Amino acid sequence: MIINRIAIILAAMLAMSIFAATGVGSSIVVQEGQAISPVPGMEQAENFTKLDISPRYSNLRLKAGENKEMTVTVKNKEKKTVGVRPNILVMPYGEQIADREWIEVKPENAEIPAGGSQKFTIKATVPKDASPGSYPLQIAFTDEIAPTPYPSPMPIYIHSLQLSIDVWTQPMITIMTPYIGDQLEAGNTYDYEIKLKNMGDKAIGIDPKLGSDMYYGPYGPMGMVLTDDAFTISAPQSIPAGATEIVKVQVRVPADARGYYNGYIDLGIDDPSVREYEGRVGLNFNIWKQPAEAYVKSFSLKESAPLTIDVSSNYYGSPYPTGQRNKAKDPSFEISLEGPGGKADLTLVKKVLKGNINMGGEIPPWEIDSTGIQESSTWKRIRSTARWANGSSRSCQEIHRDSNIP
Amino acid sequence: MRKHEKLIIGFFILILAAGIGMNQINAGTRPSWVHEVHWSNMPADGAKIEEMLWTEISPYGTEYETVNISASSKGSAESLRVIAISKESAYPDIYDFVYEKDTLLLTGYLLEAVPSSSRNDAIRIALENRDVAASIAAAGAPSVKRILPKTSVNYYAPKTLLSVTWKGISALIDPDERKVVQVWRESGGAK
Repeated sequence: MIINRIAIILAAMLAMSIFAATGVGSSIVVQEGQAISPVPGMEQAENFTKLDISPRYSNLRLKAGENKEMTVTVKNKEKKTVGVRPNILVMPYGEQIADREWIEVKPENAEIPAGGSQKFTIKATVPKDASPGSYPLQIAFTDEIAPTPYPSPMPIYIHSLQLSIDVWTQPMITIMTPYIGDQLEAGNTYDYEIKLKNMGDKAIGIDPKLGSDMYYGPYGPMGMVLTDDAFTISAPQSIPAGATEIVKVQVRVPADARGYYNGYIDLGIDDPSVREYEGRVGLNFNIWKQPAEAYVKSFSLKESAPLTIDVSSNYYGSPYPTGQRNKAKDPSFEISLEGPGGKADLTLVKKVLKGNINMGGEIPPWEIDSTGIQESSTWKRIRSTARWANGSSRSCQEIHRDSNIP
Repeated sequence: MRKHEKLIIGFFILILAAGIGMNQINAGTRPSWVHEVHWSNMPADGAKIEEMLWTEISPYGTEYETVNISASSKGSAESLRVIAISKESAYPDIYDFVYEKDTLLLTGYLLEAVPSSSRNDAIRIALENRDVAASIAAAGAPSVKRILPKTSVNYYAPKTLLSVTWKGISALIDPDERKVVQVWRESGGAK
Protein backbone atom coordinates (compact mmCIF):
# COMPACT_ATOMS: atom_id res chain seq x y z
CA MET A 1 0.00 0.00 0.00
CA ILE A 2 2.71 2.38 1.01
CA ILE A 3 4.63 1.74 -2.23
CA ASN A 4 1.48 2.27 -4.33
CA ARG A 5 0.79 5.58 -2.65
CA ILE A 6 4.35 6.70 -3.16
CA ALA A 7 4.20 5.65 -6.83
CA ILE A 8 0.99 7.64 -7.42
CA ILE A 9 2.45 10.73 -5.75
CA LEU A 10 5.68 10.45 -7.75
CA ALA A 11 3.79 10.01 -11.04
CA ALA A 12 1.76 13.14 -10.29
CA MET A 13 4.92 15.09 -9.43
CA LEU A 14 6.65 13.90 -12.59
CA ALA A 15 3.69 14.96 -14.73
CA MET A 16 3.68 18.40 -13.10
CA SER A 17 7.41 18.82 -13.62
CA ILE A 18 7.06 17.96 -17.33
CA PHE A 19 4.39 20.67 -17.74
CA ALA A 20 6.60 23.08 -15.84
CA ALA A 21 9.61 22.35 -18.05
CA THR A 22 7.75 22.71 -21.35
CA GLY A 23 6.26 25.98 -20.20
CA VAL A 24 9.69 27.53 -19.80
CA GLY A 25 10.66 27.15 -23.43
CA SER A 26 7.57 28.75 -25.01
CA SER A 27 6.72 31.84 -23.12
CA ILE A 28 5.47 33.83 -26.14
CA VAL A 29 2.19 32.87 -27.72
CA VAL A 30 1.07 34.17 -31.10
CA GLN A 31 -2.67 34.53 -31.15
CA GLU A 32 -4.54 32.93 -34.01
CA GLY A 33 -5.45 35.41 -36.74
CA GLN A 34 -3.00 38.00 -35.49
CA ALA A 35 -1.16 39.59 -38.41
CA ILE A 36 2.62 39.20 -38.50
CA SER A 37 3.54 42.09 -40.71
CA PRO A 38 7.22 42.69 -41.29
CA VAL A 39 8.06 46.31 -41.79
CA PRO A 40 8.23 47.34 -45.49
CA GLY A 41 11.70 47.45 -46.99
CA MET A 42 13.60 50.20 -48.78
CA GLU A 43 11.60 53.18 -47.58
CA GLN A 44 12.47 52.16 -44.01
CA ALA A 45 16.16 52.70 -44.57
CA GLU A 46 16.40 55.79 -42.39
CA ASN A 47 13.64 54.86 -39.99
CA PHE A 48 14.29 51.26 -39.20
CA THR A 49 12.80 49.22 -36.43
CA LYS A 50 15.07 49.10 -33.39
CA LEU A 51 15.75 45.44 -32.77
CA ASP A 52 18.88 43.98 -31.18
CA ILE A 53 19.94 40.71 -32.76
CA SER A 54 22.43 38.81 -30.67
CA PRO A 55 24.62 37.27 -31.97
CA ARG A 56 24.71 38.81 -35.41
CA TYR A 57 27.40 36.47 -36.72
CA SER A 58 28.10 32.86 -35.96
CA ASN A 59 29.66 29.82 -37.47
CA LEU A 60 28.88 26.20 -36.78
CA ARG A 61 31.46 23.55 -37.49
CA LEU A 62 29.86 20.24 -38.32
CA LYS A 63 30.78 16.96 -39.89
CA ALA A 64 28.43 15.57 -42.54
CA GLY A 65 25.44 13.94 -40.81
CA GLU A 66 25.80 16.01 -37.63
CA ASN A 67 23.48 18.66 -36.26
CA LYS A 68 23.89 21.47 -33.80
CA GLU A 69 21.68 24.07 -32.16
CA MET A 70 22.30 27.67 -31.26
CA THR A 71 20.20 30.43 -29.75
CA VAL A 72 19.61 33.91 -31.09
CA THR A 73 17.99 36.59 -28.98
CA VAL A 74 15.93 39.35 -30.59
CA LYS A 75 15.31 42.28 -28.28
CA ASN A 76 12.66 44.85 -29.12
CA LYS A 77 13.85 48.36 -28.29
CA GLU A 78 10.75 50.01 -29.71
CA LYS A 79 7.87 51.32 -27.64
CA LYS A 80 5.41 49.09 -29.47
CA THR A 81 5.02 45.40 -30.21
CA VAL A 82 6.99 44.21 -33.24
CA GLY A 83 6.27 41.07 -35.26
CA VAL A 84 9.21 39.05 -36.54
CA ARG A 85 9.28 36.08 -38.87
CA PRO A 86 12.72 34.49 -39.44
CA ASN A 87 13.49 33.98 -43.11
CA ILE A 88 16.31 31.63 -44.12
CA LEU A 89 18.36 32.95 -47.05
CA VAL A 90 20.95 30.93 -48.91
CA MET A 91 23.87 33.13 -49.89
CA PRO A 92 24.90 32.85 -53.53
CA TYR A 93 28.60 33.40 -52.84
CA GLY A 94 30.99 31.26 -50.90
CA GLU A 95 32.67 27.97 -51.37
CA GLN A 96 29.49 25.88 -51.23
CA ILE A 97 25.76 26.51 -51.53
CA ALA A 98 23.67 25.30 -48.61
CA ASP A 99 20.04 24.19 -48.71
CA ARG A 100 17.33 26.02 -46.78
CA GLU A 101 16.18 22.70 -45.40
CA TRP A 102 19.38 22.37 -43.40
CA ILE A 103 18.09 25.07 -41.07
CA GLU A 104 15.14 24.93 -38.73
CA VAL A 105 14.19 28.01 -36.70
CA LYS A 106 11.81 27.84 -33.75
CA PRO A 107 9.48 29.55 -33.14
CA GLU A 108 8.54 30.28 -36.76
CA ASN A 109 7.33 33.74 -35.82
CA ALA A 110 6.78 35.88 -32.76
CA GLU A 111 5.25 39.08 -31.53
CA ILE A 112 7.76 40.78 -29.28
CA PRO A 113 6.26 43.30 -26.87
CA ALA A 114 7.87 46.70 -26.32
CA GLY A 115 11.09 46.24 -24.36
CA GLY A 116 10.73 42.47 -24.48
CA SER A 117 12.93 39.85 -26.08
CA GLN A 118 12.45 36.53 -27.81
CA LYS A 119 14.88 33.62 -28.08
CA PHE A 120 14.96 31.69 -31.32
CA THR A 121 16.52 28.25 -31.53
CA ILE A 122 18.35 27.59 -34.77
CA LYS A 123 19.05 23.97 -35.55
CA ALA A 124 21.47 23.21 -38.38
CA THR A 125 21.47 19.69 -39.78
CA VAL A 126 24.06 18.74 -42.37
CA PRO A 127 23.12 15.84 -44.68
CA LYS A 128 25.38 12.79 -44.69
CA ASP A 129 26.37 13.40 -48.31
CA ALA A 130 27.35 17.07 -47.88
CA SER A 131 30.76 18.00 -49.26
CA PRO A 132 33.32 19.66 -47.00
CA GLY A 133 33.39 23.43 -47.27
CA SER A 134 31.96 26.67 -46.01
CA TYR A 135 28.22 27.24 -46.52
CA PRO A 136 27.14 30.86 -45.93
CA LEU A 137 23.55 31.57 -44.88
CA GLN A 138 21.61 34.50 -43.59
CA ILE A 139 18.61 34.46 -41.28
CA ALA A 140 16.64 37.68 -41.63
CA PHE A 141 14.19 38.37 -38.82
CA THR A 142 12.41 41.15 -40.73
CA ASP A 143 12.60 42.21 -44.38
CA GLU A 144 14.02 45.67 -43.64
CA ILE A 145 16.96 46.35 -45.92
CA ALA A 146 19.92 48.68 -45.41
CA PRO A 147 20.62 51.18 -48.17
CA THR A 148 23.96 50.76 -49.93
CA PRO A 149 25.83 53.47 -51.79
CA TYR A 150 27.01 50.82 -54.26
CA PRO A 151 25.25 47.92 -55.99
CA SER A 152 25.10 44.92 -53.70
CA PRO A 153 24.76 41.35 -54.99
CA MET A 154 22.47 40.56 -52.06
CA PRO A 155 20.25 42.88 -50.03
CA ILE A 156 21.71 43.65 -46.62
CA TYR A 157 19.03 42.80 -44.11
CA ILE A 158 19.21 45.02 -41.04
CA HIS A 159 17.88 42.46 -38.58
CA SER A 160 19.81 39.40 -39.56
CA LEU A 161 22.16 36.70 -38.38
CA GLN A 162 25.04 35.82 -40.69
CA LEU A 163 25.62 32.13 -40.28
CA SER A 164 28.42 30.10 -41.77
CA ILE A 165 28.27 26.33 -41.60
CA ASP A 166 31.70 24.80 -41.95
CA VAL A 167 31.34 21.19 -43.00
CA TRP A 168 34.55 19.33 -42.38
CA THR A 169 36.06 15.90 -42.15
CA GLN A 170 39.27 15.07 -40.37
CA PRO A 171 42.07 15.28 -42.98
CA MET A 172 44.29 12.22 -42.91
CA ILE A 173 47.31 14.08 -44.24
CA THR A 174 49.09 16.80 -42.27
CA ILE A 175 51.21 19.15 -44.35
CA MET A 176 54.09 19.98 -42.04
CA THR A 177 55.59 22.53 -44.47
CA PRO A 178 52.64 24.68 -45.56
CA TYR A 179 54.65 27.23 -47.52
CA ILE A 180 58.17 27.87 -48.75
CA GLY A 181 59.71 31.33 -48.80
CA ASP A 182 63.29 32.30 -49.56
CA GLN A 183 65.67 34.70 -51.22
CA LEU A 184 67.25 33.07 -54.25
CA GLU A 185 70.42 34.15 -55.97
CA ALA A 186 70.20 34.06 -59.76
CA GLY A 187 72.21 31.19 -61.26
CA ASN A 188 72.05 28.99 -58.16
CA THR A 189 70.14 25.84 -57.31
CA TYR A 190 68.15 25.35 -54.12
CA ASP A 191 66.64 22.28 -52.52
CA TYR A 192 63.58 22.22 -50.27
CA GLU A 193 61.64 19.56 -48.46
CA ILE A 194 57.91 19.32 -47.83
CA LYS A 195 57.08 16.91 -45.01
CA LEU A 196 53.75 15.11 -45.12
CA LYS A 197 52.42 12.92 -42.33
CA ASN A 198 49.66 10.35 -42.82
CA MET A 199 47.58 10.23 -39.64
CA GLY A 200 45.17 7.64 -41.05
CA ASP A 201 45.13 3.88 -41.10
CA LYS A 202 45.58 3.38 -44.83
CA ALA A 203 48.01 4.59 -47.48
CA ILE A 204 47.05 7.80 -49.29
CA GLY A 205 48.22 8.61 -52.81
CA ILE A 206 49.84 11.91 -53.72
CA ASP A 207 50.69 13.47 -57.08
CA PRO A 208 52.45 16.81 -56.55
CA LYS A 209 52.40 19.24 -59.46
CA LEU A 210 53.34 22.86 -59.88
CA GLY A 211 50.27 25.13 -59.84
CA SER A 212 49.46 26.70 -63.17
CA ASP A 213 47.23 29.61 -62.15
CA MET A 214 48.05 32.85 -63.88
CA TYR A 215 49.02 35.68 -61.55
CA TYR A 216 46.99 38.82 -62.10
CA GLY A 217 48.65 42.12 -61.29
CA PRO A 218 47.14 45.60 -61.39
CA TYR A 219 47.37 45.76 -65.21
CA GLY A 220 46.33 42.21 -66.07
CA PRO A 221 48.11 38.85 -66.26
CA MET A 222 51.73 38.95 -65.18
CA GLY A 223 54.58 36.82 -66.44
CA MET A 224 56.37 34.56 -64.00
CA VAL A 225 60.06 35.13 -63.33
CA LEU A 226 60.50 31.35 -63.01
CA THR A 227 59.03 28.97 -65.56
CA ASP A 228 57.85 25.44 -64.80
CA ASP A 229 61.09 23.89 -66.05
CA ALA A 230 62.97 25.64 -63.22
CA PHE A 231 61.31 23.23 -60.78
CA THR A 232 61.89 19.53 -60.23
CA ILE A 233 59.52 17.80 -57.85
CA SER A 234 60.18 14.27 -56.68
CA ALA A 235 57.84 12.41 -54.35
CA PRO A 236 56.66 8.93 -53.43
CA GLN A 237 53.41 7.83 -55.05
CA SER A 238 51.75 7.35 -51.69
CA ILE A 239 52.27 7.86 -47.98
CA PRO A 240 51.87 4.69 -45.92
CA ALA A 241 49.58 4.73 -42.87
CA GLY A 242 51.24 6.47 -39.92
CA ALA A 243 54.33 7.41 -41.93
CA THR A 244 56.00 10.72 -42.68
CA GLU A 245 57.30 11.16 -46.21
CA ILE A 246 59.16 13.94 -47.95
CA VAL A 247 58.40 15.69 -51.22
CA LYS A 248 61.63 17.13 -52.58
CA VAL A 249 61.58 20.36 -54.54
CA GLN A 250 64.58 21.64 -56.46
CA VAL A 251 64.60 25.15 -57.87
CA ARG A 252 67.18 26.04 -60.52
CA VAL A 253 67.24 29.79 -60.84
CA PRO A 254 68.29 31.00 -64.32
CA ALA A 255 71.25 33.37 -64.37
CA ASP A 256 69.13 36.14 -65.90
CA ALA A 257 66.16 35.83 -63.52
CA ARG A 258 65.30 38.67 -61.19
CA GLY A 259 62.17 39.71 -59.30
CA TYR A 260 59.47 37.94 -57.35
CA TYR A 261 57.86 34.58 -57.84
CA ASN A 262 54.56 33.55 -56.24
CA GLY A 263 53.08 30.18 -56.95
CA TYR A 264 52.19 26.91 -55.32
CA ILE A 265 52.60 23.18 -55.50
CA ASP A 266 49.36 21.22 -55.60
CA LEU A 267 50.19 18.06 -53.70
CA GLY A 268 47.39 16.10 -55.38
CA ILE A 269 46.42 14.40 -52.12
CA ASP A 270 43.93 11.60 -52.81
CA ASP A 271 41.76 12.40 -49.80
CA PRO A 272 38.32 13.95 -50.34
CA SER A 273 38.47 15.58 -46.91
CA VAL A 274 41.30 17.84 -48.14
CA ARG A 275 39.84 20.83 -49.96
CA GLU A 276 41.52 21.83 -53.18
CA TYR A 277 43.35 24.81 -51.73
CA GLU A 278 44.24 22.99 -48.50
CA GLY A 279 46.39 20.53 -50.43
CA ARG A 280 48.69 23.27 -51.65
CA VAL A 281 52.09 24.52 -50.54
CA GLY A 282 52.67 28.19 -51.29
CA LEU A 283 55.90 29.27 -52.97
CA ASN A 284 57.25 32.77 -52.47
CA PHE A 285 60.69 33.65 -53.78
CA ASN A 286 62.62 36.88 -54.05
CA ILE A 287 65.26 36.41 -56.74
CA TRP A 288 68.31 38.62 -56.59
CA LYS A 289 71.45 38.95 -58.62
CA GLN A 290 74.97 39.88 -57.63
CA PRO A 291 75.73 43.32 -59.15
CA ALA A 292 78.14 42.94 -62.08
CA GLU A 293 79.97 46.13 -61.21
CA ALA A 294 81.10 47.55 -57.89
CA TYR A 295 79.38 50.55 -56.40
CA VAL A 296 81.85 53.45 -56.36
CA LYS A 297 81.53 56.61 -54.33
CA SER A 298 84.08 59.43 -54.76
CA PHE A 299 84.73 62.05 -52.12
CA SER A 300 87.45 64.49 -51.12
CA LEU A 301 88.98 65.55 -47.80
CA LYS A 302 90.22 69.06 -47.05
CA GLU A 303 92.77 67.85 -44.51
CA SER A 304 94.33 64.63 -43.35
CA ALA A 305 92.18 62.91 -40.68
CA PRO A 306 91.17 59.38 -39.58
CA LEU A 307 88.29 58.13 -41.73
CA THR A 308 85.50 55.73 -40.80
CA ILE A 309 83.30 54.13 -43.46
CA ASP A 310 79.93 52.66 -42.41
CA VAL A 311 78.36 50.13 -44.77
CA SER A 312 75.00 48.66 -43.84
CA SER A 313 72.48 46.22 -45.24
CA ASN A 314 68.75 46.89 -44.93
CA TYR A 315 67.59 43.28 -45.23
CA TYR A 316 64.95 42.77 -42.57
CA GLY A 317 63.92 39.24 -43.47
CA SER A 318 64.23 36.20 -41.30
CA PRO A 319 67.62 34.52 -41.49
CA TYR A 320 65.79 31.18 -41.51
CA PRO A 321 63.82 30.73 -44.72
CA THR A 322 60.79 28.47 -44.45
CA GLY A 323 60.84 24.95 -45.83
CA GLN A 324 64.57 25.11 -46.32
CA ARG A 325 67.85 23.53 -45.58
CA ASN A 326 70.33 26.02 -44.12
CA LYS A 327 70.55 29.49 -42.78
CA ALA A 328 70.24 32.14 -45.49
CA LYS A 329 73.39 33.82 -46.65
CA ASP A 330 74.36 36.80 -44.48
CA PRO A 331 74.86 40.04 -46.41
CA SER A 332 78.55 40.79 -46.88
CA PHE A 333 80.61 43.47 -48.60
CA GLU A 334 84.08 43.69 -50.10
CA ILE A 335 85.35 47.21 -49.52
CA SER A 336 88.39 48.97 -50.86
CA LEU A 337 89.59 52.57 -50.58
CA GLU A 338 91.76 54.18 -53.16
CA GLY A 339 93.32 57.62 -52.97
CA PRO A 340 96.08 59.63 -54.63
CA GLY A 341 98.58 57.40 -52.83
CA GLY A 342 97.06 54.14 -54.10
CA LYS A 343 95.09 51.58 -52.08
CA ALA A 344 94.70 52.17 -48.36
CA ASP A 345 94.75 49.49 -45.69
CA LEU A 346 91.31 49.16 -44.09
CA THR A 347 90.74 47.78 -40.60
CA LEU A 348 87.38 46.41 -39.52
CA VAL A 349 86.54 48.42 -36.42
CA LYS A 350 83.14 46.98 -35.55
CA LYS A 351 80.31 44.89 -36.86
CA VAL A 352 76.82 45.86 -35.70
CA LEU A 353 73.82 43.56 -35.73
CA LYS A 354 70.54 45.43 -35.43
CA GLY A 355 67.14 44.09 -34.55
CA ASN A 356 63.65 45.41 -34.04
CA ILE A 357 61.32 45.10 -31.11
CA ASN A 358 57.73 46.12 -31.63
CA MET A 359 56.55 47.86 -28.47
CA GLY A 360 53.15 48.78 -29.85
CA GLY A 361 54.14 50.81 -32.85
CA GLU A 362 51.91 51.21 -35.85
CA ILE A 363 49.42 48.47 -36.46
CA PRO A 364 46.98 47.95 -39.31
CA PRO A 365 43.80 50.00 -38.77
CA TRP A 366 41.66 46.83 -38.79
CA GLU A 367 43.66 45.52 -35.79
CA ILE A 368 42.92 48.62 -33.73
CA ASP A 369 40.54 46.70 -31.47
CA SER A 370 43.46 44.60 -30.25
CA THR A 371 45.52 47.58 -29.12
CA GLY A 372 44.55 47.49 -25.46
CA ILE A 373 45.11 43.76 -25.22
CA GLN A 374 48.52 43.86 -26.91
CA GLU A 375 49.69 46.74 -24.74
CA SER A 376 48.64 45.02 -21.55
CA SER A 377 50.41 41.80 -22.46
CA THR A 378 53.24 40.73 -20.23
CA TRP A 379 56.81 40.87 -21.38
CA LYS A 380 59.83 38.78 -20.54
CA ARG A 381 63.29 40.25 -20.41
CA ILE A 382 66.25 37.98 -20.98
CA ARG A 383 69.76 39.18 -20.36
CA SER A 384 72.54 37.73 -22.43
CA THR A 385 76.01 38.59 -23.57
CA ALA A 386 76.88 38.94 -27.22
CA ARG A 387 80.39 38.66 -28.60
CA TRP A 388 81.12 40.77 -31.64
CA ALA A 389 83.43 40.01 -34.52
CA ASN A 390 86.13 42.28 -33.17
CA GLY A 391 86.32 40.31 -29.93
CA SER A 392 84.51 42.77 -27.69
CA SER A 393 81.53 41.73 -25.64
CA ARG A 394 78.58 43.49 -24.04
CA SER A 395 75.43 42.79 -22.13
CA CYS A 396 72.21 42.67 -24.14
CA GLN A 397 68.53 42.34 -23.44
CA GLU A 398 65.98 40.45 -25.45
CA ILE A 399 62.35 41.23 -24.88
CA HIS A 400 59.71 38.65 -25.66
CA ARG A 401 55.98 38.98 -25.52
CA ASP A 402 54.52 36.22 -23.42
CA SER A 403 51.87 34.53 -25.55
CA ASN A 404 50.34 32.73 -22.57
CA ILE A 405 48.82 35.81 -21.06
CA PRO A 406 47.01 34.92 -17.82
CA MET B 1 1.10 9.62 6.12
CA ARG B 2 3.83 8.00 8.14
CA LYS B 3 7.10 9.70 8.95
CA HIS B 4 9.27 7.56 6.67
CA GLU B 5 6.80 8.13 3.75
CA LYS B 6 7.17 11.87 4.25
CA LEU B 7 10.95 11.54 4.28
CA ILE B 8 11.02 9.50 1.05
CA ILE B 9 8.67 11.92 -0.73
CA GLY B 10 10.67 14.91 0.49
CA PHE B 11 13.87 13.30 -0.79
CA PHE B 12 12.36 12.71 -4.26
CA ILE B 13 11.04 16.29 -4.40
CA LEU B 14 14.55 17.55 -3.73
CA ILE B 15 16.06 15.33 -6.44
CA LEU B 16 13.39 16.35 -8.99
CA ALA B 17 13.75 20.03 -8.21
CA ALA B 18 17.53 19.84 -8.45
CA GLY B 19 17.29 17.89 -11.71
CA ILE B 20 14.89 20.32 -13.32
CA GLY B 21 16.96 23.27 -12.13
CA MET B 22 20.22 21.84 -13.47
CA ASN B 23 18.56 21.01 -16.77
CA GLN B 24 17.38 24.60 -17.17
CA ILE B 25 20.82 26.03 -16.42
CA ASN B 26 22.75 23.74 -18.75
CA ALA B 27 20.27 23.77 -21.64
CA GLY B 28 19.76 27.49 -21.54
CA THR B 29 23.26 28.86 -21.33
CA ARG B 30 26.41 27.04 -22.37
CA PRO B 31 26.77 26.36 -26.10
CA SER B 32 28.06 23.05 -27.42
CA TRP B 33 31.30 24.60 -28.70
CA VAL B 34 32.47 25.44 -25.18
CA HIS B 35 33.80 22.50 -23.19
CA GLU B 36 35.06 24.03 -19.95
CA VAL B 37 34.56 27.39 -18.29
CA HIS B 38 36.66 28.77 -15.44
CA TRP B 39 35.90 31.96 -13.58
CA SER B 40 38.27 34.11 -11.62
CA ASN B 41 36.60 36.60 -9.23
CA MET B 42 33.12 35.64 -10.43
CA PRO B 43 30.72 38.50 -9.65
CA ALA B 44 27.28 37.97 -8.14
CA ASP B 45 25.57 38.11 -11.54
CA GLY B 46 28.24 35.91 -13.16
CA ALA B 47 25.70 33.40 -14.47
CA LYS B 48 23.81 36.17 -16.25
CA ILE B 49 27.02 37.63 -17.67
CA GLU B 50 28.08 34.19 -18.86
CA GLU B 51 24.78 33.68 -20.67
CA MET B 52 25.22 37.02 -22.45
CA LEU B 53 28.82 36.17 -23.23
CA TRP B 54 27.87 33.16 -25.37
CA THR B 55 26.02 35.43 -27.76
CA GLU B 56 29.03 37.74 -28.06
CA ILE B 57 31.92 35.33 -28.60
CA SER B 58 32.37 32.37 -30.88
CA PRO B 59 35.30 30.30 -32.13
CA TYR B 60 36.47 30.35 -35.74
CA GLY B 61 36.42 26.98 -37.45
CA THR B 62 37.03 25.18 -34.17
CA GLU B 63 35.65 24.77 -30.65
CA TYR B 64 36.81 26.27 -27.38
CA GLU B 65 38.30 23.67 -25.06
CA THR B 66 38.60 26.11 -22.19
CA VAL B 67 37.22 29.58 -21.62
CA ASN B 68 38.82 31.50 -18.75
CA ILE B 69 36.87 34.53 -17.57
CA SER B 70 38.49 36.91 -15.13
CA ALA B 71 36.52 39.79 -13.68
CA SER B 72 37.53 42.93 -11.85
CA SER B 73 35.23 45.60 -10.45
CA LYS B 74 35.60 49.23 -11.41
CA GLY B 75 32.89 51.16 -9.61
CA SER B 76 29.53 49.87 -10.78
CA ALA B 77 31.08 48.20 -13.83
CA GLU B 78 32.77 44.84 -14.18
CA SER B 79 35.79 44.54 -16.48
CA LEU B 80 36.02 41.12 -17.99
CA ARG B 81 38.88 39.48 -19.82
CA VAL B 82 37.94 36.30 -21.63
CA ILE B 83 40.71 34.00 -22.84
CA ALA B 84 39.44 31.15 -24.97
CA ILE B 85 41.72 28.28 -25.86
CA SER B 86 41.26 25.87 -28.74
CA LYS B 87 42.99 22.55 -29.38
CA GLU B 88 43.64 23.48 -32.97
CA SER B 89 45.66 26.63 -32.38
CA ALA B 90 48.68 27.54 -30.29
CA TYR B 91 47.26 31.02 -29.81
CA PRO B 92 44.19 32.03 -27.79
CA ASP B 93 41.25 34.26 -28.57
CA ILE B 94 41.21 37.18 -26.11
CA TYR B 95 38.18 39.39 -25.58
CA ASP B 96 37.75 42.40 -23.28
CA PHE B 97 34.27 43.34 -22.09
CA VAL B 98 32.71 45.83 -19.75
CA TYR B 99 29.49 44.80 -18.01
CA GLU B 100 27.34 47.53 -16.54
CA LYS B 101 23.60 47.96 -16.02
CA ASP B 102 22.68 44.66 -17.68
CA THR B 103 24.70 45.53 -20.77
CA LEU B 104 27.75 43.67 -21.97
CA LEU B 105 29.98 45.73 -24.21
CA LEU B 106 32.90 44.33 -26.21
CA THR B 107 35.74 46.82 -25.78
CA GLY B 108 38.58 44.96 -27.46
CA TYR B 109 39.66 41.69 -28.96
CA LEU B 110 42.73 39.85 -30.16
CA LEU B 111 41.61 36.67 -31.88
CA GLU B 112 44.44 34.39 -32.94
CA ALA B 113 42.82 31.00 -32.29
CA VAL B 114 42.68 30.24 -35.99
CA PRO B 115 43.08 26.56 -36.93
CA SER B 116 46.37 25.88 -38.67
CA SER B 117 44.71 24.97 -41.98
CA SER B 118 42.84 28.30 -42.09
CA ARG B 119 45.93 30.13 -40.88
CA ASN B 120 48.16 28.63 -43.55
CA ASP B 121 45.55 29.27 -46.19
CA ALA B 122 45.27 32.94 -45.19
CA ILE B 123 49.05 33.32 -45.46
CA ARG B 124 48.98 31.70 -48.89
CA ILE B 125 46.26 34.09 -50.06
CA ALA B 126 48.22 37.06 -48.68
CA LEU B 127 51.36 35.94 -50.50
CA GLU B 128 49.46 35.78 -53.80
CA ASN B 129 49.36 39.57 -53.61
CA ARG B 130 52.46 40.85 -55.32
CA ASP B 131 52.76 43.96 -53.13
CA VAL B 132 52.72 41.83 -50.02
CA ALA B 133 55.06 39.16 -51.37
CA ALA B 134 57.55 41.75 -52.57
CA SER B 135 57.59 43.49 -49.23
CA ILE B 136 58.05 40.60 -46.89
CA ALA B 137 60.37 38.32 -48.91
CA ALA B 138 61.42 35.70 -46.36
CA ALA B 139 60.35 37.68 -43.31
CA GLY B 140 59.32 34.69 -41.24
CA ALA B 141 55.93 33.70 -39.91
CA PRO B 142 53.30 36.42 -39.74
CA SER B 143 50.49 36.78 -37.22
CA VAL B 144 47.01 35.78 -38.38
CA LYS B 145 44.17 37.48 -36.53
CA ARG B 146 40.43 37.23 -36.95
CA ILE B 147 38.72 40.55 -37.58
CA LEU B 148 35.11 40.72 -36.48
CA PRO B 149 32.38 42.10 -38.76
CA LYS B 150 31.85 45.15 -36.56
CA THR B 151 35.40 46.21 -37.45
CA SER B 152 35.67 44.88 -40.99
CA VAL B 153 32.55 46.77 -42.09
CA ASN B 154 34.77 49.87 -42.05
CA TYR B 155 37.31 48.36 -44.42
CA TYR B 156 35.37 45.98 -46.67
CA ALA B 157 32.07 44.39 -45.60
CA PRO B 158 30.34 43.30 -42.39
CA LYS B 159 31.82 39.81 -42.34
CA THR B 160 34.58 37.89 -40.60
CA LEU B 161 37.95 38.58 -42.21
CA LEU B 162 41.51 37.54 -41.43
CA SER B 163 44.42 39.92 -41.00
CA VAL B 164 47.82 38.54 -41.99
CA THR B 165 50.51 40.83 -40.63
CA TRP B 166 54.27 40.95 -40.97
CA LYS B 167 56.34 43.76 -39.57
CA GLY B 168 55.32 46.89 -41.44
CA ILE B 169 52.77 45.31 -43.77
CA SER B 170 49.43 43.64 -43.40
CA ALA B 171 46.91 42.03 -45.74
CA LEU B 172 43.21 41.86 -44.96
CA ILE B 173 41.82 38.61 -46.35
CA ASP B 174 38.28 37.59 -47.23
CA PRO B 175 38.48 33.84 -46.59
CA ASP B 176 35.17 33.12 -48.37
CA GLU B 177 36.18 34.81 -51.58
CA ARG B 178 39.83 33.87 -51.08
CA LYS B 179 41.21 37.30 -51.90
CA VAL B 180 43.14 40.20 -50.41
CA VAL B 181 40.71 43.06 -49.89
CA GLN B 182 43.06 45.64 -48.34
CA VAL B 183 46.80 46.08 -47.92
CA TRP B 184 48.29 48.30 -45.23
CA ARG B 185 51.86 49.50 -44.94
CA GLU B 186 53.43 51.15 -41.93
CA SER B 187 53.01 54.92 -42.30
CA GLY B 188 51.37 54.28 -45.64
CA GLY B 189 47.78 53.60 -44.68
CA ALA B 190 45.50 51.08 -46.34
CA LYS B 191 45.08 50.95 -50.10
